[in-house]
Amino acid sequence: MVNLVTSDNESFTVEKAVASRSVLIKNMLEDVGESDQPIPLPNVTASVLKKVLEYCDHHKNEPMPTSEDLAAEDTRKRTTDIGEWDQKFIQVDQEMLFEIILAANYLDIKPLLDVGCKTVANMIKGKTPEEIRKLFNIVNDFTPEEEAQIKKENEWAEDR
Amino acid sequence: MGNLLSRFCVLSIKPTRAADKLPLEILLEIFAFAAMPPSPASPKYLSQVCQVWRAICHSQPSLWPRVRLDLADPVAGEKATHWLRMSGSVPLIVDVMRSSPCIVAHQERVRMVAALAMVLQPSLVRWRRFTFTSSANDGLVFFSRCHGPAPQLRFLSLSFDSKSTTAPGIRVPVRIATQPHTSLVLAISHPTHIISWPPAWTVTNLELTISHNIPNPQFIDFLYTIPFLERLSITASSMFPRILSFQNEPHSILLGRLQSLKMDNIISLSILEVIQVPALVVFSARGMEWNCENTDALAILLADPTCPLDEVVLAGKTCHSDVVVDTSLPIFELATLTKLRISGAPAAFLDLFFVPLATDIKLSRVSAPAATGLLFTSPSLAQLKLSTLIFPSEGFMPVFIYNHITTLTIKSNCLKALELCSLPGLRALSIKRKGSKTYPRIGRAMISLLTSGPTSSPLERVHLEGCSLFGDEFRLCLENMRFVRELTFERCRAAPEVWTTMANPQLLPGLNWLTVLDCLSASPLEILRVVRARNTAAAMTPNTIARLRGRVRFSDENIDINPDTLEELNLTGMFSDLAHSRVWSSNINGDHARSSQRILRGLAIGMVTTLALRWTPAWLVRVSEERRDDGSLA
Repeated sequence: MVNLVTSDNESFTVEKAVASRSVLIKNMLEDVGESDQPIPLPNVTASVLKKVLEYCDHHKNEPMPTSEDLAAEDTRKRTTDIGEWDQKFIQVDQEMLFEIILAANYLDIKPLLDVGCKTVANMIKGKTPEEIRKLFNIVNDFTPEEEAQIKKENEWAEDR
Repeated sequence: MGNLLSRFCVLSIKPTRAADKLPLEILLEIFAFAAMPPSPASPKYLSQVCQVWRAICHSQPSLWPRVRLDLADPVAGEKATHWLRMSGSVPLIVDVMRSSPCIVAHQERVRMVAALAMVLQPSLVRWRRFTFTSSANDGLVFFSRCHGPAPQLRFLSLSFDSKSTTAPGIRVPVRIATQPHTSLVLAISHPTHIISWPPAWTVTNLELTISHNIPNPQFIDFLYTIPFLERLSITASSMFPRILSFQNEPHSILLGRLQSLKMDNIISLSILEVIQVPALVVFSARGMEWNCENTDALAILLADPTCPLDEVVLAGKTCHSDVVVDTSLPIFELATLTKLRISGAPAAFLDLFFVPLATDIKLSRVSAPAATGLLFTSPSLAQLKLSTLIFPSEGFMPVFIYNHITTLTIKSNCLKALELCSLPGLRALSIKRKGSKTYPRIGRAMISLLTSGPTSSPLERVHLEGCSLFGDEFRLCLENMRFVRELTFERCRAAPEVWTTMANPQLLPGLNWLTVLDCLSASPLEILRVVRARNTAAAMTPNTIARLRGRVRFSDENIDINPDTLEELNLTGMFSDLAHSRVWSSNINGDHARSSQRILRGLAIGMVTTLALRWTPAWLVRVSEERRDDGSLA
C-alpha cells in the first residue's frame, strides 16, 4: 500500500497498482524503494485527489501507455472520443474539471489528462469567441488594432 | 516558442481559478483536440477569444490544416492567403465550394475562380484531401489554373452540381499528379461531366454519387479504368432512387481486389450479375427493392461459397407479399459472415440463410417465424436487434433459447418476442419506441425475459424509451434485476411505485448510474428521495450497495420543479438539466436567484440544453450548450 498526503494535509492509503497509474508516483516509488514514508503531493487537494484516485482505481488493470503508444498518438491515432465510463467520471463542475486536468498534468497521468483536455475541447467546439469567453469567464483584452484585424477576418466566409 | 512563452507570462493575469492556471502546453493540447473532427473548432475563432489564445493559435501551424473556401466570397483569396501562411508546412485539407449561385458577370466569375486557383496552386504539394463542389464551368477554370504534382494527396472529391447549366458531357481535365502507386480515394458526385485524370492515379476507393440512371456500357467502361479498386460505394438520393442497368451485358468483369461494395438507394442489384468479386468482405444494399430479379441477383453473390463475406446489409423498401422467391435457389451458406442486417425481406428468402458464425444480427420488418429460423442457424450470436416483427395471426411459435446473446435491442412493437425468448446470458437490454404518443406496458414481457433462465438474470444495463412502467409486473422486474448497474428511463411514464421500489436499498444493489430523461411522471423530489435513500445506505459499512449517480432532465410538463431540489440533486451527483422555461420564470424570484445561479454554475459540463429564461439575471442571458449521446457537443 502507498500513503499519499495532499496539500490540505489529508492522507490517502491506496494500492500500489492504483497509485502507480501516476508516472510521478511510480518513479518516486522506484527511486525510494520499499518504504512506509508518506508521499507528499503539495499541488493536489484532497477533493481532487479523491477524484483522481477514483479514475486510477477504475483503470488500474489496464496496461500503462508505452512511449510508442504516446508517439503513435501524436501522429494519427488520436481522436476526441471519450470512453463511456470516463465520460461519466468527468461530469463534474468546471472548477473541478480544471483542477483534475492540473492534477493529472502534475501527477503525469496522460490518459486522465487526455480525458480532461478532450472534455474542455468538446465544450469549445461549435462556439463563437464570445460564447467561449462567457463559458470560461475570459476577458476580451484585444487592442483596438487587434479588434480591427479581427473585424476584417470576420468578413471572410464561415469555415463550417 | 520562447517568445510565445514570455508573451504568455506577460499576458497572464494573476491566476485565481484553476482555468487561469492552465499551463501553455495544456492549452495547446486542448486546442489540438478542439481542432479535430468531428466538427473541428475553427482556429480563426479560437484566435479571437483573447490575446493569449491568439498568440497560441498563431504560433501553431498544426491548428490550421483545414480551410474552406467559398467561390462566392469576394475575399476568399485573402482568407486562403492567411490560412496558407498560418499553416506553415503542414498537410492541408482544402474544401473549395460555391455557397450561392453566381450572380456576377461571366468574366468576373472566371477572374475570381482563376485568382483563387492561383493562390492555392503553390500549396498543391501540401494537399492531403481536396474537395471541389461547384459547377463544371468553375471546375474547368479552376483546374486549368491549379495543376501539378500533389504527392501527399490521398482523397479527392469532385462534385459538379447537377443543377449546373453547364452542358452535360463537358470534359473537365484534372491534371493533378499524385504519387505513383499510392492509394487515392476518389469521390465523384453527379458524373454528368466526364472527368479525366492521369492514368498514373491508383484509385483504390471510389465513392460515386449519382443523380441519374446509369446504363451499363458507360459504367462498365468506367470500372475498367479503375483496376486497383478495393472499395466501391454508389449512392443516390433517397428521394430519387436510381437504377444501374446491367441487363443483357454479354461479359462479366472481374474486380479481383474489391473488398467492399455499398449501394444506397440503388433500386436494382443487377450489377451483381456482371461483376465477379472473389475478395468481397462487405456488401451493403440499402434502399433496394425486394423483387424476383433482385433476389436472383443476390443469390449469385450469397450462394458463392468462395466469397469471404463478413458483413451483409440488405435493407429493402417495403416487401410486397406477392414477391415470389425462386424455389430452386440454393442455401446461402455464409461460413465467414459475422454481421448481418436484413430489412423487409420475404420470408422465403430469409429461410435460405445459414450463418453459423454470425455474432451481430439486426432484423426488421420480417416475419417472426422466418426470423426465428434464421436465428437458429447462428449459435454464436451475441448482439441482436429486432424491429417490427410480423407475427402470424395463429399458429405455434417456439420459445427460442440463445445462450450467447449479451445485447438485445428491440422496438416496442416486438415485445411479444421477449415472451418467446430465453436469454440467460443477456447483459444489456434496450427497448425503444420512438415518435408515438402511446406508451406500451413492458412489465409483462420483461418479467418473462428476466425469469426465463434457471438462475438470476445477469442483466447489467437497461435502457427503456417511450414505455409505460406502470403495473405490478414492472415492479417485479426491478426486484429481479440483481446485477443491474445502469438504468435509463427516457420519455417513459413511470408509476410512483417505481420510485418507491427503487428507493429500497435491498433491491438493485449494484445500481450506480441512473438516467431519467423527459419522463412525464418523474418529479425531482421523487428522484431525490431515491438518491437520498440509496446513498445513505451506501455510506454505511459494510458497503453492500453502490453509490448512485446519474443524470436527469425534466420535461416541459413537469410542474413541481423546485430549485433547491435541483441543487441537491446536482450536489449528490445526479446532474440535472431542464428542457423547461416556464418553471424557471415562475419559480425564480429574488430569493431564489442566488441558489439558481449556483445551480446553473454547478450544472454538469456539457449537460445543459438551451435555457431561455424569461426572468433574465444580469449574469446570464442564455446558456446554450448541448451534449449529444456520443459525448460530443452540439
